[in-house]
Amino acid sequence: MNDDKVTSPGHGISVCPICGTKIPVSLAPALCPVCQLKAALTVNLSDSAATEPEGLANGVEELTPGAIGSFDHYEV
Amino acid sequence: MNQEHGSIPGDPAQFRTTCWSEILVAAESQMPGSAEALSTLCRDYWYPLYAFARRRGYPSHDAQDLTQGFFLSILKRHALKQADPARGKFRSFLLGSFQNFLADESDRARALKRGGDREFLFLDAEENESRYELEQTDQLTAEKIFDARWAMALLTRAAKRLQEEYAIAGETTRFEILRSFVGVELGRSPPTYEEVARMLGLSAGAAKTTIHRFRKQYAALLRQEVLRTVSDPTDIDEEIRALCEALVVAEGRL
Repeated sequence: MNDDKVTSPGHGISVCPICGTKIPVSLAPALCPVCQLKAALTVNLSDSAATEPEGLANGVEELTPGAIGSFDHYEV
Repeated sequence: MNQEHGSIPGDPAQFRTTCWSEILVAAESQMPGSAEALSTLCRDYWYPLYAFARRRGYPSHDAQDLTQGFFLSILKRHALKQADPARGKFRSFLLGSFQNFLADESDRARALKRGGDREFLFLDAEENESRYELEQTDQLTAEKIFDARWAMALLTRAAKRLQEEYAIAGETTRFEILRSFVGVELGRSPPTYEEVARMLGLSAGAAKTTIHRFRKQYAALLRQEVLRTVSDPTDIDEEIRALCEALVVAEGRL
């Protein structure tokens, strides 16, 4: 995702400059929902606090391989 | 189900990262805090069902009433008895249950309409036949709209989670500066790296790293939110791909 200008085919529909998905013109192209979902698809689960200088100091839990099968100690 | 883990028994927050099927089981057994957790879960996905009903041809007011009635039914645990939450996705469970609910409501409405008037019954049948034909094409579209709306609801939910986490850490201002880089709620374009750097008092390079990390945090939470809606963790990627496909098919008509 980046801040590139969006191309507009009209009718209130824009096109994501990255993945080409049609998105509502009211949505900033940098916020293409498909690109955001794909980021969740490719998020590196082993890329946790070790590669983040401040880790998730803001309290955000980042998934680790061991966390995939459980949440808050609930087995899924 | 272990409820310890530093949470207060009865506090709905203890279910914040709990899989949907676990919440249903907890609600069915009336575990403290579970009813509110279920209510929150339903509220997050209210709009996709409302959009489905609208696409199926229900007027706005009726669609609202039906969606509300359906969720009340869920919250009263009537629908849970018919579900097998151990298998499948929350998305499929809700849509399937809602379709059953709509069919039941339609049956009730038709029964009231008939009133023993044969001629009226004939007209009603004709109307229903036309409606049936219409629904054959509309139903698919309604389901696609539902799936696309579901994806948007997930993106919104993940942004809310991120906001909550920043608030807990006392970083609300930081979140407000960065929030337009994620989610689908705000239509405006995000600020430039230079603007972010100035607002956060960072170098341009550090701002870029901060934004990258912010997006990764969001992506991780989004993945968690998807995990909450599936019953098997191995289904996460498949679900994400399905939602991407739904958004592509919707062609921006959201």
